[in-house]
Amino acid sequence: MRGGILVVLLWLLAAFPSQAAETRPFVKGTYAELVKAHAGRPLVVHFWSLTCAPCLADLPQWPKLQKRLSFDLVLVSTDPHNQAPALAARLKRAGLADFPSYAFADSFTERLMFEAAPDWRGELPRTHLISAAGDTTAILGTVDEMILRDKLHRH
Amino acid sequence: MIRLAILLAAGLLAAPAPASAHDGHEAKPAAQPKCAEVSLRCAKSATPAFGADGRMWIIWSAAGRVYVSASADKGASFAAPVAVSDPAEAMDDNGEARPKLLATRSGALVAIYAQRMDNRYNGKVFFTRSTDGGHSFAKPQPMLDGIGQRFETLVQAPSGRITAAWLDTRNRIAAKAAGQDYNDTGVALAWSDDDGASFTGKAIKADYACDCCRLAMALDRDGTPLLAWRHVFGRNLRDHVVAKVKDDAPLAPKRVSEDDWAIDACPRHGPSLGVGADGAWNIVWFTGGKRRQGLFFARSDDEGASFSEPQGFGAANRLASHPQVLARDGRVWRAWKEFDGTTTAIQTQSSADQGKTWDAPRQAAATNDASDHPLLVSDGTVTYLSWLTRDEGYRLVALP
Repeated sequence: MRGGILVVLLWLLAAFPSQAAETRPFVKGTYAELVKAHAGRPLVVHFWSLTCAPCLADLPQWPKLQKRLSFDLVLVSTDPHNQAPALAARLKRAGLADFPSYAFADSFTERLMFEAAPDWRGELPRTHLISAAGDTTAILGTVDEMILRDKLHRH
Repeated sequence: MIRLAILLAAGLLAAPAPASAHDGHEAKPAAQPKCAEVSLRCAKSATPAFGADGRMWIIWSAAGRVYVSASADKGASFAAPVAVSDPAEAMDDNGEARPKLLATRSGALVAIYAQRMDNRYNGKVFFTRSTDGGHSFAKPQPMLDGIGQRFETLVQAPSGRITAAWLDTRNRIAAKAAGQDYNDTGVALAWSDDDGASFTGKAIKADYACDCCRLAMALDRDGTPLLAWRHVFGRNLRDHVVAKVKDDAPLAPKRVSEDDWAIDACPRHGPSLGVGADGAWNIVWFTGGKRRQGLFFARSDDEGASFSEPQGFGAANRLASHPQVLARDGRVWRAWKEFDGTTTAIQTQSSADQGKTWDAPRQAAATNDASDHPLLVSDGTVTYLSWLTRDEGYRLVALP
C-alpha cells in the first residue's frame, strides 16, 4: 500500500515538476476579469483543448510568437478543470509552462463561451487578439503572424 | 398539448461510487470537484432507445462508467442503473461524443461507447450486449485492438444486420509512429449478423472526415444504412457529405452543399440525418462558411445525386446550434439549441410538405444551467424531444 503511494508520488513528480504553472479555474466572470487585468497592454487569449488535434498542432508556435511580438499571453482550455495535470503537462511540452493557464471549471460551458464571445459555438482553437486600446479580433484556427502584428500593435 | 415527463434524477438514480484515483491531486481547491456519483446529475449526455416491448432505455455515463436505465413510463421514472462498461479513467462523452444503445428486433440490447485512452483525442470503441432484458451486460469487447476510434454509432436494418460506424485515425497513428506527417481521419464500418454478439469488417471505407464532429447514421427506405459527416475537402474545407453503405465497397460520399467553411479548427459540431417513408434524405447541419453561416436543412430525393438549396433556420443571434432531424409518418421534425446568455432553449418545428414549409418554431424545453445536445426520437407512434439538463434531469417531451 505504502509502496503504491510512493510510486504514485514519484510518478507525479516526474510528470508534473514544480515549475509547471498552476491551472486556474475559468468560471463565470473570469473572462472579463482577465481582460480588465491586462487592460492597456496587448493581450492574446488562446482557447484550446486536449481533444482538438489542430489545437495541439498549433500550441508550440505560441512561445515563439510571444517572444517575437511581445504581448501578454493567457491560455484557456475548454477541458474540465479536473484535467489540470494533463493540461499542465501538454503546455509544458509546448514551451508554455510559464504563461497563465486556465481550464473551464463550470459544466455550463455555453455561458463561459458566451461571456468570452457571444457568437462562439465551441470551435477550437479560437484566439482573441486584444489591442492596448481594447479592440478585440477573434480568429478561428491558426493565427497568422502578420494578422497578429497588425491587430495587437495597431494604435 | 405538450406532455412533459421529468425525472428528477438525483433522488432516483443516486448511489455512491468510488472516488477517482486523481481526486486529491487537483491543482486548485476552488475548482469544481469531479462529479463522482452514479447519477444522471453527473452525466453529460443521455441517449434513448425504444425496445420492441415499449420500454424505453437511456444510456449514459457517470464517474467513469457507462450505465443503462429502463423506464416503463416514457422517462417519468427509471429503474436502478445497470453497469454496461468496465470502470475507466474517462469515457468519451461530451454531448457530441456519447455512448449509444440499440434495442434489437429480437429483444437484445447492444451498447457501443468509447473510452478515452490518453490525454489527447485517441479513443477506443467497445461494444457489449444484454440478452436478459437489460439485467446484465456481457464483458465489453474492443472493436479493434488499437486505439484511434471516436464518434461511434450503430443502426439495425430490417434484415437484422447491425451496422456500426466510427471515425478512425489508425492510419494517422501509424504514420506518426513512422515519423510521417499524415492527418487523415477515416470513416470505418463494421457489421454484425449475430445480433451484436460480434462484429466483422472494421475497415476504413472513406477518407478525409473532419475528426472532431459526430457521425450521423440512418436507414434508407430500402433498409440500407446511410452516413452523414463533416468532410475535409482539399486542405481544410469542412463541408458535409452523405454516403450510402454498399456491402463491403468503399463509401462514395455525395456533397450536400458548398458552404466553403475553410478552417484549421475543430467545429465540434456534426450533422443529423433522417429518412422517412418517402425515401428522401433529410440532413441538418451547422456551418460558419464563406457562403452561408448558421443552421441549414437540405434534402435529396435522388439518393444524393442532388440536394435542395440549403434552407437556413434557427435564430443566429441566439447561437442556434446542434441541430437534429427526424422523418416519419409523412412529416419532418427538426430541433436545435438556442442560448441567450442565460437560458438554453430547445426549439422545434415540423413540416408536412417534405421540408418546403415549416410551422413556427416552438420552445419545447429550457434550462438555466448545463445541458446535453437535444435528440429527436420516436417510439413508432409519437415524436419526442429527448434532453438531459443538469437542473431538471432527463426529459422526454412529446412533440405535436
